[in-house]
Amino acid sequence: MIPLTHSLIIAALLFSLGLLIILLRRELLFILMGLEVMFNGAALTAVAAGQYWNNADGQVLTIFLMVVTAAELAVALILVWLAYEHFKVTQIDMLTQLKDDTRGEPP
Amino acid sequence: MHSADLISLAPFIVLILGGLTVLALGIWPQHVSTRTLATVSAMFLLLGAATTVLWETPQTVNNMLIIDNLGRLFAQFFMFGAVAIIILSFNYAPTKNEVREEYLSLILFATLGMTLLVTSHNLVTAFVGLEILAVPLFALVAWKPTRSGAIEGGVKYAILAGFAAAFFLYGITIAYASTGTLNLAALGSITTDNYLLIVAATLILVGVGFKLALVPFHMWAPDIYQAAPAPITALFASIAKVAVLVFLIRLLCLQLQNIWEALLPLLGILAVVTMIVGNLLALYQQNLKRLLAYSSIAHLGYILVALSAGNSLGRDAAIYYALTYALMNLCIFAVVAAFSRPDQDRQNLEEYRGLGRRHPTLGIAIGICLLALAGLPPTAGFIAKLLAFGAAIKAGYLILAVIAVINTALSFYYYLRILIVFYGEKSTKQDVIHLSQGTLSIVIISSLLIIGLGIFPGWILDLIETL
Repeated sequence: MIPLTHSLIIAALLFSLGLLIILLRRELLFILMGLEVMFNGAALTAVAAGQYWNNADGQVLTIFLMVVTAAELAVALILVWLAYEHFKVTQIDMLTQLKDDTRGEPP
Repeated sequence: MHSADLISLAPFIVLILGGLTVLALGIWPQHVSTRTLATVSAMFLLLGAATTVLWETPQTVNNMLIIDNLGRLFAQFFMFGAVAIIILSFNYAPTKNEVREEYLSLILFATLGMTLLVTSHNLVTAFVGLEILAVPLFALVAWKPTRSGAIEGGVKYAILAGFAAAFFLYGITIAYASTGTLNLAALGSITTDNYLLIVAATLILVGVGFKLALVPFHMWAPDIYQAAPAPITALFASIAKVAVLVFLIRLLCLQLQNIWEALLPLLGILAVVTMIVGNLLALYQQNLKRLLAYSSIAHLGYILVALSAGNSLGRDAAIYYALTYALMNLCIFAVVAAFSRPDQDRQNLEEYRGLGRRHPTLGIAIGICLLALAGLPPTAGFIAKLLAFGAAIKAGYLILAVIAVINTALSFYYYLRILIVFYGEKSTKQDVIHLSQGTLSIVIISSLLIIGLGIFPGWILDLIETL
């Protein structure tokens, strides 16, 4: 049987990998993939801990996690597609309509 | 699962049925008017609020949900708030003819998520509630994608919400790995010095911090506030944020008290940074919606001051502040929605010049709101700040209270600047504004509540103390 610490370390690596993808990549699709990797890191932790504690909560949590994140990513993908459709944008840096307005002098 | 649990679950069932009914009206053979759709959704929300009266408190449902007075107070608050949002959206010009089945059912589902979040007694329920709240919101932010910035706001919020959810989830799973349970009561009874549980609570705090726009997780807030249509900004600036905040209060102050004590220094630092950065960024901001975003970041800082006091006084102050905060933001964004142009919101502060003079009712309301946000008596904002800072002083964090008071003084500058612009003499353009009865009544009711809670804080404080 694989000890809990091993699985937890792999899961932590997976989570940090996803975090790095989000922080380093600029493409919207890659960012969504990074999110998925982070979710999987969490799911691996849940499954491994469920096996260690010998109860079903971890597996239940994983199933909830997969369903809910799939729903979330579906909506996010629609928004990414809309961004491409309307502005031909695939990178997050190219979305720059919203920014601070501090030009005017205070009265 | 007993049949008696059905009474506890009634509000949730009503909201789910409501959302589905409104969606199903979309395939009705005849054309259903927007007014009918809005009325049906509002009826379901009011019915949901009515069923919470039947709750027998306190009890738990299958150890997944906790039905108590705190949950009831906020469930009713969210449902009335959602009715207000529906009335605002119905009368809001830029999304005219777009407030149809999907929009209204998304609002109903978001309300379901908020109610689930504040009554969760298990981290899985909390996660599901958080996501049911978040996913409708990023669809609503991008409503009518042709509005300028709508898609950008939606994409940014979707990515940030996913990011926050990932941290929240990882926190949950670490808590599970270290203790073997996801039940909040069971987690709270663990008294041994479990450092992994503190790591888990910190990760959950990061996830929640993104939702609450605490510094350093605040970058999304102004963009989303600017991008969303004003009624939706009102939705997540007021009730949606309060739902997450109440979950945090329940998690730290009611269930995991030893974790709360371990996290006090972190909460204190977050409070100071959030207040200072929020206020400094607001100082020279010219875009009204972004300015209010920064101001709400600063307000979350004041609430954290109350929470970092670490006593029951701080908890009560935070709950009172949360209610007041929601009312103030609802009122001020209702005013922004009322003054919207036919195609989009007024963005620059100068576009509002003189409007307070020309429309005295809204002018007085915005005056009340801004004084409440700045924390002047006799508004509820003053009592909320008094309680929050008083709790910090009582707990011996004098420095924290002093920093908070200095920040309040700093915030007077930009709040009064808005007030001066609204009552300015010369208005540049005399465009016609059609004020609808619905929006006006929301503005009047919420500003009366702000004054009422300020003069008679006992109304709600007595209730909070018995929670």
